[in-house]
Amino acid sequence: MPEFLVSLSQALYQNLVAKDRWLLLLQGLGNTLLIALGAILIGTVIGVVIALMRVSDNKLLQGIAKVYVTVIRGIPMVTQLMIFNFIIFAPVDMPKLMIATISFGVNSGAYCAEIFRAGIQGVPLGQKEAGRSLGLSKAQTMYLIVIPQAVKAVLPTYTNEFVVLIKETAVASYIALVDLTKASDMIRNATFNAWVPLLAAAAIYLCLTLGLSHLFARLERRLARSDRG
Amino acid sequence: MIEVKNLEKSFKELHVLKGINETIHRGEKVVIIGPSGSGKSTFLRCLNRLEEPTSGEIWFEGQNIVDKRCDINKLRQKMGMVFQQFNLFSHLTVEENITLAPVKLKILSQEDARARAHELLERIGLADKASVYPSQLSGGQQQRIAIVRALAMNPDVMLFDEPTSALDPEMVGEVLSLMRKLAEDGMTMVVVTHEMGFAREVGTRVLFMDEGQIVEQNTPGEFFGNPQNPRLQDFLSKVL
Amino acid sequence: MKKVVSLALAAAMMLSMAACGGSSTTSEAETSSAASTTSASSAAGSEAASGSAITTAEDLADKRIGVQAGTTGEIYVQENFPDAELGSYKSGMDAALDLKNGKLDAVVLDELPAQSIVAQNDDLMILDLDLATEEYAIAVKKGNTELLDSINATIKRMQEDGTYESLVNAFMPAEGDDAIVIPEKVATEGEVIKMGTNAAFKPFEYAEGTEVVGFDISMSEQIALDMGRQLQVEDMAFDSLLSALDTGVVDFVAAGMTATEERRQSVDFSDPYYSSKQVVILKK
Repeated sequence: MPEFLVSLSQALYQNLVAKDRWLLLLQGLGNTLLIALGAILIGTVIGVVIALMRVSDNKLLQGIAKVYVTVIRGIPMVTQLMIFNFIIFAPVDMPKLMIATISFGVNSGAYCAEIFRAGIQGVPLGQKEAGRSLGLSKAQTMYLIVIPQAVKAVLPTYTNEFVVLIKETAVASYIALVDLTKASDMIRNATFNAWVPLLAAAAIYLCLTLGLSHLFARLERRLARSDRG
Repeated sequence: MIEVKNLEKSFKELHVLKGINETIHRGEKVVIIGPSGSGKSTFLRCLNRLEEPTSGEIWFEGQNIVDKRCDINKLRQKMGMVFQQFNLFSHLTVEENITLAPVKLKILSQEDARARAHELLERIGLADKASVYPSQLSGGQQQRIAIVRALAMNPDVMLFDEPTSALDPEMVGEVLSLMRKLAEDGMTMVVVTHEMGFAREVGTRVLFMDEGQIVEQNTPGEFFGNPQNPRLQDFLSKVL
Repeated sequence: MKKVVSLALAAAMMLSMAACGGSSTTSEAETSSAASTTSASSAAGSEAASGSAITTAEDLADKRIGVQAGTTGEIYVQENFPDAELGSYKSGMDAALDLKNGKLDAVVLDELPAQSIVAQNDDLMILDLDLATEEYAIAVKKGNTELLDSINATIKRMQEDGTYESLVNAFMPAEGDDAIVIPEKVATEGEVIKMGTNAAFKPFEYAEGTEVVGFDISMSEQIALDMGRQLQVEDMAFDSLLSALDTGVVDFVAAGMTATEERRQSVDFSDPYYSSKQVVILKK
């Protein structure tokens, strides 16, 4: 066997197999997925509420929603994460995983809100007028006509937000959480090898994001049926 | 049936409707013509309050629809509207487009609505299109379905806002003939259009609007044969 | 209905914003007056932790322990207390913050940085359990004997000519951190030599204004001076230092780093220049 293959296999063994280090990566991956999934759920709910507030006629609700979006989007994720951990939830005894999920969710909510708002406002006015002219109420028009069309329109950007979110969770270690990045850090710490743990983590992230993009692309194609012409 | 009193509408600085008084009786087919920007579409859209009138009253079946206390959604069920751009719901099939409002507003059960939709589609010869999406249809087909969608609500009056202006010329005929059939069935109709032939043949009364006012109105014969107002004479000389 | 829901949510959000604003002011007050008074919020938090009395090393076994990522403290806790709930932080101070907030029972950290932290936080104290004694040394890439030799020569020279003692006196005064007198920056010139460190380890390396200062920095200035090179300090995460060395991002690492057997397998260490130990920080 060529020498570089020997040393490569040694490095792989040292960094992934020895001392069950792959288990550490798996555990980190689990946390990364938990945070991202929980956060996209929270973010979607917040996003829908904030988006509806922003397109409502009520100036107060509009204002609140606008402040929320502006503040959250204007602060780096890491800073928000630490604010949540060291300030807002400081007096509360809550698992770190939950704190991280909430802060990523609150953050994602602002981005989701903007995505949804753009989607809602992107539905042609005529669709709304047609609904109203048939006697449907404002709310009925919203959820029977505008939102279903907006959902289809925002799906690509929304899935992109999920992909972005997965990558953003890499800062979770700032509050001492072992996510995928931290797990690879810990292996790097123990073996002092930069290559294998970092590239392994990178490969896993890439699989996750590509897999998701692929999954959502299929969903989009199914939803796009009505656009065939 | 519809009584309009001193209707005014302004968009910020722009004074679009300058005091309109008009009564439309049951069974009438009123055609509104006029140069673009004369306020004819705005007038029509005020009738079911898609545009909020700035002042004035619009009485429909005994209720002033400008009054904030009236249930405008309920009244709109009785006023069908057809748009220039068809505005079929793009995410729903043809059948769903027609049944959505009657079912959601609890006027018809799902089964009855479906049966009605098929009966209406049958009448316009598009029964085979029930399960396709609007984007797969031609403009003329879409507009005929939009008319049928409004009819499914069993309206007392139908408002048409330039229903043929966005159509390719070869499709104008099919839409106009459907409207003509509707007129023959006795539907009360208010039609904003540029189709002078339709106005002459189908209309029971023709209104000429210019600069936010109804300048002249008459039966089609008198209207086209013996126009009084110089602006109408000028307009007709250009379009005929 | 929808309006009611959105109103309720809006109200909840404003409340949480107000709550956020409120607690952030407390924490500002906390830091500004940390040296003199204990603020109300940290006093309230200490009640929760007082139940978990830690007096011996064995008491740590099942506790929530904070460490700084990549330090010997982390390795020590991992190896000796596998059942403990380990929280690995970017800096010892972050760990201490969660200790104050009642989210940790103890922090295991090197003695001098621990003392710095306790000096700034009246509600924290140090428990010395003789956990592990260790020696700090400077790390270079394996096989770089030329650099290693000149580092060793400088350490020897500093110990002989009194520079070492004056640095110890400057950075580790008996009166505590407040008495630290940062020596004048020593100008170095020539070809750049890069020193990797993690400026969250007072008094060995920490940020003072915009400058990274500390015992290790001053010592590295002497090393660069002797070599006729210009010192450039690269501040990075502690757990990235050795891989930075391995990939050549930095030339040597001086970061209060203990010369452990495990690390010796991948890097070379200079002669030890300081003897330290791991201590436990607890809430009073």
